[in-house]
Amino acid sequence: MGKRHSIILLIMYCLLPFMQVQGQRVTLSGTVRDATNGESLMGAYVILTDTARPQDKQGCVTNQAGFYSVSVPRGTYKMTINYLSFKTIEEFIALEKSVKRDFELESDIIAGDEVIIQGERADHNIASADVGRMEMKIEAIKAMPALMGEADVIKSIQMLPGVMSGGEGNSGYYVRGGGTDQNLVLLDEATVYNTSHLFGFFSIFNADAVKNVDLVKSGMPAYYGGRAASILNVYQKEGNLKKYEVDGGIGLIFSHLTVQGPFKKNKASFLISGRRTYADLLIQPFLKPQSPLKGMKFYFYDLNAKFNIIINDKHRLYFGAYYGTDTYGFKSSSGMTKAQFMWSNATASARWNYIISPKLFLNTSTTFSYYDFSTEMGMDVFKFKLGSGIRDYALKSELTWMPTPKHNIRFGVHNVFHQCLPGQIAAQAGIDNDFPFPTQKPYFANELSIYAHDEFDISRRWKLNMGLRYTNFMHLGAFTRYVLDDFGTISDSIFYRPGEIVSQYNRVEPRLSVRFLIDSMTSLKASATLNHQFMHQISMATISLPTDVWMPSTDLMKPQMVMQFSLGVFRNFYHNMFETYVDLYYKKMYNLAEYRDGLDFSVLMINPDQLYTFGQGWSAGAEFFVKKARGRFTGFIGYTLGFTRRQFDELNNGNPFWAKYDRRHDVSISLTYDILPHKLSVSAIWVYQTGNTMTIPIGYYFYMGSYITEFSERNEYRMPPYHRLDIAVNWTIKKTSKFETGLNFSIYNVYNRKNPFFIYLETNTNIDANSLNFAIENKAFQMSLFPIIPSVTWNFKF
Amino acid sequence: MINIGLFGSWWGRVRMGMSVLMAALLFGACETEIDVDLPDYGSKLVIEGTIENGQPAIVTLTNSIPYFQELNMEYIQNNLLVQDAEVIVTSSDGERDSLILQFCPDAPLFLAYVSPNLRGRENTTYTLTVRSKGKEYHATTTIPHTFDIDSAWFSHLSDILNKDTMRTVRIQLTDDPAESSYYSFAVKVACPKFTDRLWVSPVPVAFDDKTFSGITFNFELERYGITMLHTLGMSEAQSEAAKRLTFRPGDTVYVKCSLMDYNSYRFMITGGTEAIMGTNPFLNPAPVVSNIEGENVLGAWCGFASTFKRIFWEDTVGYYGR
Repeated sequence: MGKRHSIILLIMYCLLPFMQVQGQRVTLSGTVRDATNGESLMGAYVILTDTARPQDKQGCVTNQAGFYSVSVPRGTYKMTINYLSFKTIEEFIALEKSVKRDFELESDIIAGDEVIIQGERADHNIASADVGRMEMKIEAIKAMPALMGEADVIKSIQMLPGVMSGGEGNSGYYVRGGGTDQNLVLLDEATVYNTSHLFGFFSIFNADAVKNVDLVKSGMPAYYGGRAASILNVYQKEGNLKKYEVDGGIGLIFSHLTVQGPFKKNKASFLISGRRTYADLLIQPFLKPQSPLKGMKFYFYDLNAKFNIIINDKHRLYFGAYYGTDTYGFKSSSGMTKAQFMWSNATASARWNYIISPKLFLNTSTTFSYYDFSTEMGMDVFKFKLGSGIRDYALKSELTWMPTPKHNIRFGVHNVFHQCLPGQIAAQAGIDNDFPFPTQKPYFANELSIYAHDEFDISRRWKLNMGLRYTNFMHLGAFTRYVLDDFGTISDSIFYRPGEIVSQYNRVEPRLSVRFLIDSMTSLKASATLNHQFMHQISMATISLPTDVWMPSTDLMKPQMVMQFSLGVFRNFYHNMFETYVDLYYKKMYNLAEYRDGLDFSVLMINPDQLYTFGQGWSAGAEFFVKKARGRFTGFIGYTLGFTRRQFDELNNGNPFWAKYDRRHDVSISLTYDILPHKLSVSAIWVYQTGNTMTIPIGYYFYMGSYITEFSERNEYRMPPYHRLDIAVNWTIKKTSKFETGLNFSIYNVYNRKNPFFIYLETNTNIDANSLNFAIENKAFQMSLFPIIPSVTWNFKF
Repeated sequence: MINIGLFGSWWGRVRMGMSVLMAALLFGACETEIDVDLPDYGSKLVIEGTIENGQPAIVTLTNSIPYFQELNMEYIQNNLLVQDAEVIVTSSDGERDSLILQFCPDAPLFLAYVSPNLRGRENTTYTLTVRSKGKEYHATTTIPHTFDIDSAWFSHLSDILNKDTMRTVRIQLTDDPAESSYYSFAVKVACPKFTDRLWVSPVPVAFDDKTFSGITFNFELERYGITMLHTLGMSEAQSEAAKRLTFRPGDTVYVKCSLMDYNSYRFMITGGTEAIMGTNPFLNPAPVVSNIEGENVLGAWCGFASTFKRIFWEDTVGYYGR
């Protein structure tokens, strides 16, 4: 589709709601906040019921700033504001003219006896047209059992159907057969490029600083883009506007502390939160002098900060920042071999919310993302340094327009300037000789998107979410493209000046999802989306590691394209106490990239994108989900049946193969029982996953005296399944309006399952020199990470 | 001049370093031996064929071995060697020779098909034909021109280790900028405790000149590629001595410096990489690229243009000829 046609289509689309605007309408608008701390409540329902015609209901959901707007004919209405775990507000309101009202909801924790799994309206899963969207409240995440007692956002979303973990020790997660690089992770709208601490054992998200978590795995709205599989949107808390508050926790290897409060009551607030591990300090006295960890740095820490300023009724500013660093090192007992690995993540965002009118809301933000990895290794006289990283500078402006209760329209523009640093290498192989490895110059790219999205209530039964996103992506100079001959030798080069366009792509992404309400408890939902992804992360390893570098699309590396179709039946039972769904999906993926087989070392001289080969993929599956949302006994069971295949002309002889994280079965069970409501609860999770695929040796032979292994087809072998049971007890020892203290007891891997982290193979050789008898025997070993791990964390708040 | 040492394995070292680090991190990590149910495996013919300037063609034919099959002398005698094949080499000059199965000290298993008349010549292409069990296999290789290295000397392995008793060999050469060159180097040691029968190819076993085209560079050689087949027939003491990575006082070291064609290089580099890192659980194994045409066949037919040097402990350089 040409650029001109796309723009015309967008304009027509934006004008569409005008045709349906009716006269004599008034608007009720404002914000909804938490009464205890003044935080905006995102996802609260505001519903107006016409007292004359109770069957006529109009409503909306608050956005990330807590803003709502409902337009109705003049009249008297019963207004209901509803947000789970908060007391519902109900009052009658006469609307003769447009009115602006802000509301504060009181927490329902003291009065109620429920544990909330997700912060949604009771029948949100039925009423919404969002097919693959799931929101998790941080309270629910904190209630789950966790490794070392540390609540983990990423581990929690891996419990959801369609989201696969890479296993222990793997920082990535996989959504409906997509790769780890196909997940966009946003922290206060800034992209996070690496979500892992400690090689994936923990995520970078500090649960004390997180407000809520939103995952989109299908039916992706047009206001999200840049990734092909999923969006994980994490919002930091804004800081208590009412009073100062200190939260903390002391665990076996972690401690964390959060301080928040008002600069000026109800006008400006701050939040500062930090965590640090201290296992490296605690174990030092117990290490032998020759231990590889003796004296070595071995920790991570992170800091979150948020500032929130309410300028007036119409203007509000937010500033958020995150910084985290991992540092790990070891040395051999002789001191000859040393290694140190470091990686750092940082994000910064500034957001301006402007309520232009009761029907128009403007959100403008600028963000900065930073990720750096570096390693230094020394082995005798050989010293080696490797560094890589990425920087993003982004500006986004979005208007939300609610012309009628039937439409919620969002349109905006989003520009991201990417700077990728794929490889900074230095080596020294002698006492006074440096080898000048060719340092890769930064890659520059600009990604400009415009979009429009409408949530359209066609009728009581039909609801339509539709949108269009258009992106212009440019790979920019300075850049040198090497031209290779048939033998991979550089035969020529082309130089592009700074700012010069090396290659560009224009892509249109239509997004559509529809809901059909069969009855008040049952709905059918379907979605069809097309996503393009312009940034790529290709891993040479079989697991996702911090070393994996990001690269922009270039003339050789086309943007990934993913078509996804989804069809689901959603049904609630017993007044929404039980929520269920079955969701079927099919994906076709194009322009996937992998490293070519058999790389040799001279490739350092050429452009990194010349190391890749390109192919396609398919993914299909069915997700089943049952949740008990209310009562003292709550929880959910999720099951996914999935298939994911890949085909690359230059890999596996061109034959299709199972993806690394193809999982036939994936089961997650999470259960919580309130023994004493809000004082003592016990929770348990059990997960089961079909084992990962792997390429395994099937034979061997000798050439010039060397032993060479022959391997199976790619990913032909499947590792043993992964399963694990965790339990946790949360005990609130004391809770008053001014002070709260409690203990969390967790047992990870209760039945001490030895889950496969990886399988490795070893060759044993026995030679009897006198008789010339010898034997060579191969054996397989499985490395498992975590045995049963009990932990206790003391939490406090005042 | 630049100095590249063992630069070729940097990526493997990073990965292995991370693996070691991760293992060190895992306080409770444990390993257990497991049974692996492999797909059905049918043995393949392995052709190990070389031809070198001035030397006969030497072709060893073996069968590949199921991965969990124990390999011992009985298995070698009964299953490993292929002794009933017809092996023919023809040259681009029209020369043709049928190879004869015979005792061959230069072959790892002492038994190989050797050309009785044909000898390798520089800038000549050789075609190998093997007929075995009703199937026919073909491969072509070219012996390029020979080249001369600038110098070779013993180098200190480290400032830390005892520099008086442990050294490596460094060779220096100047690459020809006018052509793409594919190098390999190998060493043999003669010392009071043992004498190498086979050439030991250090890591990487082959490399091209893309990184240092047209410049002078030096390269470090360790005895890193030694395997059990090199020490077959040695006493236990000799075998232990031969397994060392470095060179010692009293050693005479022979260095073979070879050029090969692109297809031979592709096999050598992919095979060498696989031999070092193939079973690293964190890497996707890469297939070894054979230059032999035919079904269910492994190995390669490689031509080498080689020159030799001999060096003694104290920087004495001299040529070594056969």
